[in-house]
Order: sequence, then structure tokens, then C-alpha cells
Amino acid sequence: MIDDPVALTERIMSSLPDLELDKGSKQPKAREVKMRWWMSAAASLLLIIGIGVMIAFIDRQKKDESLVAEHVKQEPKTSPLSVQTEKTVSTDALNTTYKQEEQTVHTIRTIENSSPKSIESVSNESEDRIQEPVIRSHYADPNLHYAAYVPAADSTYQAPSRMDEFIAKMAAFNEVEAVSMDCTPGDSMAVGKAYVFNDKQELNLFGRLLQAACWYDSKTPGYLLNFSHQQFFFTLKDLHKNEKYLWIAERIVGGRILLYSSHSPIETDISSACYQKYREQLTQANYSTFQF
Amino acid sequence: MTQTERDIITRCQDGDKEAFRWVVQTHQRMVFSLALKMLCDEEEAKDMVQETFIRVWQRIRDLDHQKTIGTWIYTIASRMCIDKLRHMNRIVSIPEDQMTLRRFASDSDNQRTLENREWVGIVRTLVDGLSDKQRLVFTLCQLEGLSSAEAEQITGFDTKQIKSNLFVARQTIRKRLKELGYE
Repeated sequence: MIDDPVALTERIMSSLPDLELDKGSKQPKAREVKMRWWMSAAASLLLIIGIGVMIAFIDRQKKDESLVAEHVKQEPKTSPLSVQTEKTVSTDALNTTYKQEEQTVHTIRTIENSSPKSIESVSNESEDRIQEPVIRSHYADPNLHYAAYVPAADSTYQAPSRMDEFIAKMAAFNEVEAVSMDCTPGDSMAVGKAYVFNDKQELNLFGRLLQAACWYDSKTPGYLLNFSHQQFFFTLKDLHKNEKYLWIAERIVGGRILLYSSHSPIETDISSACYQKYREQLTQANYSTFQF
Repeated sequence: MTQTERDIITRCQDGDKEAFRWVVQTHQRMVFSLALKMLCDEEEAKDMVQETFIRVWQRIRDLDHQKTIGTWIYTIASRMCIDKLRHMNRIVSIPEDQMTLRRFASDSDNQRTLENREWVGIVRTLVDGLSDKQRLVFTLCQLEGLSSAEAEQITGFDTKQIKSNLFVARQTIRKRLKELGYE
């Protein structure tokens, strides 16, 4: 059928490309292209899966974070490591014997029951003495949770002597000298002082005294505050130092304010006679005796 | 594949062109015959033989030793012919082709070897109206005398596809011959 097979064979043989060159160029190229295509497809698929997984992980992390935030918010209410608070509240009967009844309130939060359980125990103590607050913790290591931190000292304690310091500074600023008053002769522990201020609006002595009285909690032992436009009366007890404090301020004639302050041991009876005498000297008027 | 064939293929895969010459000499007639009947043009058929063997040479390293080299070359040739047909104008018969067919039909010598142009004329007349696949299956099975199994290996069709394509091709040719006055 082929008119000249030899010629056709030679034609074919002469047109054959070099197989060595072909080996490295064309055929592997096609394979390489296929391989690259599959590799890029696989890489794209992995990338998409990776992005998906990452998005899912971030979403889940956000959810977890929000849950943790909610938990932290609720923790102070339900945490078993709650603060063990114990307050010592003394109710003063304001009688002359100054007998005290101390009421101790314990608030304990247990692990089993998350709601606070109050156990009140009332202990009557016949003698006045300073009772150090008892700090109880269910956990030996308070660093387990910062909420378990319990201050070593009674942070609610405010020394009544600060009131005297404040008055002394105010007097010094206004160049008012203190007059020492010996209301309990023979008792060196009782101290009484009187000041006479000019009743100036810019001084506002009553307002400042009231402000200073506000430093103290109304549950402070011996707390008694009474004031009006004419008078200011304030008493405190310092159970740490076993002292009682009294401040009386009164508007007197001549546009002046008489301020009397005294502190003495709790068991000491102090008469206001000396104060009354001094006031009479200033005002030439009778004044009822304060008993405290 | 015989040991000789296997050795020659191995040498071809090592880049031995002289070994490949044997492959060309052995199978170029077969490829030319197929290309002539598929493309119906002698020069196109020669070009197709050349292109086919260049492709065989380039792919010789892909040849599996379990596969017959003849079948493998047929596969490449048939695919290239199909590709060529897609880019060629539709093959239509001319009045001379019918004359050739008439002469062949009236010839008492059934063993006569047809010349190329006679083949082209007859095929152009018969296969007019067949699809490329039907044309390929008909050429391989009817004109080249290959078995259905060989046709399956070459074309990649399954038995059912071979049978259906061959059936349709025969029906079309029968109808065509009836139109031309042959019973």
C-alpha cells in the first residue's frame, strides 16, 4: 500500500527528535504540571480547612472567654474562698456604769453551701477589755485567691485622738490658745481643754467639727453625736486605749464659740463643773451640767 | 510481546534510534492503512504515519511491557486520526468514488489488492454519514480485520460500545448501498 516504505521510514527517522532532550523537557513537564496542579489543589484545600478550623477555634475561644468573664463576675457571690469577715460590734447602753455587752457576729461561707451562713454568737463579758478580732480562714494559704486576703489589723479602727489633733491644728491655724482645765483633781489621766473661737462664717467651726465626726462609724464604741445650730455634742470611746472622749461646742455671747474637749480613762467619772464654771466666766450665765 | 520485541523496546527506551527503525519498518504499513481509511487521503495518511511514530518515539518510555506494541501504536494512531478528522472538512464522496465502487463490486476477482485511490473511493462512499467513532470502529473491525477485543484495547471502548457503534455503522452503510442500487 505504501508506494515507497523505505522513503517513508527514512522520513520518519529523520524527523525523530532527540529522546534525551525530550526526556528532560516535554514529558516530565507535563507530569510536573499535573503534579503542581494537584499539589496546589491540595494546598488550597488544606488552607481552606486551616482557616475554617482557626475561625472555629477563635469563635470557641471567644465563647469560653465570655463564659469565664461571667464566672468571674459571679465568683464573689459563690466562691468558697470568700472573705471571712468578723466584726465586733459593741452596743453602748450609755449608762453611767459603762458596762458593755459585746455582740460578736461571725459570717462563715462554706464550700458545701455557697450561700452565706450566719452564726450569731453573743458573748457577754463582764469586764471591759479589748477584744482582738479573730480571723478565721478555711484555707491555710491566703494567697490561693486574693479574695481570701484578710487584713491583720482592724481596719475599721479610727483613733478618737485624731479628733483632738484636728482641733489642735485648727486652733493653731486660727491662733487660738487652749486653756487647760483640771476637772478631776488628783487624776493625772484626765485631760480637759477649752478653746474660744470667733464665730466667723469663713471658719465654720460647727461644720468642720461635724465633718470630723463623720470620720467615725456610728458603730464605734461610745459613739454619740448631737448637734444643733447652737450646740455640738460628741462622745467616743477608745477601747484600744481604754479612754473616753467628749467634745462640746457652744455658741456663746459675743460672737464666740466655746469648744471643750476632754479625754479620760473609761472608768473615771468626770464632772462638768469645771467646764460650767469656765463658761459662766465667759458668759456670766448658768448652764445645765452635762453628764457623760 | 516476544523477547525480541521486549529487547527492542528496551533499547528504544534507552534512546536507540536504530532499534526504533525496526519498530517503524514493522508497523508503518499498519498505521498507513488505518490512516488512509480514516482520512481518505494518501498524503494525509503518510503525514499521519510520520506524526504517529514521532509521538510513539516521544512516549516510548510510557510503554508497558505487558502491552503489545502493535496495539499501543494503533491506539496512538487512531486517536491522532480522530483529532485530525475533527480539524478537517467533512469527507464527502465524489461521483468517481461511486464508479470505483461499482467496478470493485462487478470485479470477479475477489482477491485483488485494491490500490490506495480505490480504497479511498470506496471508503468515502461507504462511510459517508458515519460519526468519527462509528467510522473508527468500522475501519478497525471491518476494513482492518481486527477482533472486537483488539478494537476495545485500541479505542478504549467497552464491548457494548464497540457492538453498538459497529451495528449502527453497518446499518448506515447498508442503507447507503441500497440507495446506490446495491442489494
